[in-house]
Amino acid sequence: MPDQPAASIPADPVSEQALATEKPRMSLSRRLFIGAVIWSLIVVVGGVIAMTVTYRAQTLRLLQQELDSTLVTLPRALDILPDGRVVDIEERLPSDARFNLPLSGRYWAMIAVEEDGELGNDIRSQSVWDGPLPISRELADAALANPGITQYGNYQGPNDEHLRSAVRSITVPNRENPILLVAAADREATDEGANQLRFILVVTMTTLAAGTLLALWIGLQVALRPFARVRTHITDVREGRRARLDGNYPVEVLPLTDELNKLLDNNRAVVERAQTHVGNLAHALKTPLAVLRNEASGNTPLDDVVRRQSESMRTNVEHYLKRAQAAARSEALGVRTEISPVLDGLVRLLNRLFERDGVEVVSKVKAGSYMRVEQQDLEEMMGNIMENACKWANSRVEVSVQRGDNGLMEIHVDDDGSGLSPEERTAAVKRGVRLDETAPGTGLGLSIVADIAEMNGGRLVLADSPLGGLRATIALRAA
Amino acid sequence: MKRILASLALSVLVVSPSALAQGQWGSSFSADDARSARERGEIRPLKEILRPISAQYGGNMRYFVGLFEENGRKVYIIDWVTRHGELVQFTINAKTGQIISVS
Repeated sequence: MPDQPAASIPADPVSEQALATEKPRMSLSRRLFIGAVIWSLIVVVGGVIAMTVTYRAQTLRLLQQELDSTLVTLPRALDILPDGRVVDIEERLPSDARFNLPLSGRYWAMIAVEEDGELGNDIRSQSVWDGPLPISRELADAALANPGITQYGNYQGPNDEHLRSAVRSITVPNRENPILLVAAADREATDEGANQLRFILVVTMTTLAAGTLLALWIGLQVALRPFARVRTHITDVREGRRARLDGNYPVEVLPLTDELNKLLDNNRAVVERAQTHVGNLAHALKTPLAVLRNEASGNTPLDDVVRRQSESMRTNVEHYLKRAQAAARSEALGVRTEISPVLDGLVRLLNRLFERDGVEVVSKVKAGSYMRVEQQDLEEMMGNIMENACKWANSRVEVSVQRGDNGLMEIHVDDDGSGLSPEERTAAVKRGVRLDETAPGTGLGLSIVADIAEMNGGRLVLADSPLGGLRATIALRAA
Repeated sequence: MKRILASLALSVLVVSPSALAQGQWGSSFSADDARSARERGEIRPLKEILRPISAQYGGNMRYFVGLFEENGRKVYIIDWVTRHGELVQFTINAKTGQIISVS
């Protein structure tokens, strides 16, 4: 069986998928949240850096003050001889026990500077022991360039520790060349403290920021929940489960829902007015048409024309009346009809009617399937389609039901007749086309079915039937 | 003890009997002696001697007894507190860094 394109009149509500395929805009809450995250990052990183740097500088300053006090005491232990020689007075040297323990991390030294700026003999604390002096050449030069001003620097100590060194150049009476005073201390404890502080800051501030962001996120979700509720309610309205937005909304959302309700009411009023107009017009035309038809009972060509044209007008008027009625009914809320009783009734009726033509109608639909459609509309549609099928069938018409996509249910009516070509199918659902002038019927049947299906959010599709003839499918929303 | 700082001065090295010196060890060496000895390669730098001890026993030096001459070799004697809080005295060969005795 070759697959031929099916003709259909699709319902055209704005579907969820169409919305989803649009490029999604970034939500307000997400934008706000991302902004908060970036801001938190800046504050946390900046705050940690600023505090750590400040703390480090402060502790370093304290360490340097200690070094300074050592530098102040050192010269007191110097005794300058008249010939410029310098000797140290042991009992006046700094008394801190750490200066006597080798490689303790606390050092001092006094260095004689030579004529050419080279460092000459020196007196050093016992803690230096056999290690190198805790002073770099650059630091010594800086101190010599700025006599009397203490210079600070970092240097590797005799025990490979990180030292903070303080150096000052002084000149003494009877001596031309300056003497360098050096004091140094292990800065590990200081650095350790700063690192610990940084770690604590990172942990606490990150925790704080994370907690704040979490709270913000939860708050946003809670604040935006009413909108999600409004949205589901609007969906309900669109699908006919609800007439208005009558939930218990927060004050912030009320203006929106009020406006929407007004819009809904207005919309409904407009539709009702239009339907009433159509209905009134159709009613108003019925009587004059009947009169015309009765008056044109003669045999003149004019009578003929009037008869035929007024007949065509009558069918049109009928069609629109039915449409208006169906539309009015489809506005009703929460309608659901079980399909099997309707189909069974039609099957019985049609079997009686078409017994003589040798056509058998069978329904394979089990009880328990409901559709969101007025019973009258369902009867109108199925009656139309099934009767059509019986007219064109050779011997058999089958009715079956099947779950379709998008929450629709499909009722198939199959016949074993000769079927239709794709062009004929397209034409069949266009109003006013008669497929066969000899077949009884107005030629409006299928287009009315398509209209009613559409008004109920469904559609009519014509396709090839497995039985060999035409398959007419009505897809309606399941309930 | 007096040390001469001036470049013109003779470097006078007077070895004074240290109060820390224990009878059987002869006399202890001063920091200046230790530095000269290290520069001549007679002993290894103290930090290199202490590093394996620190790695093995943990803790730190409690008291530095001194550098002594014993049977023609130089030894460091130090009091050490291990990571378990035990106080031990090491005698270490200053040239090789080997621990001679632990008490």
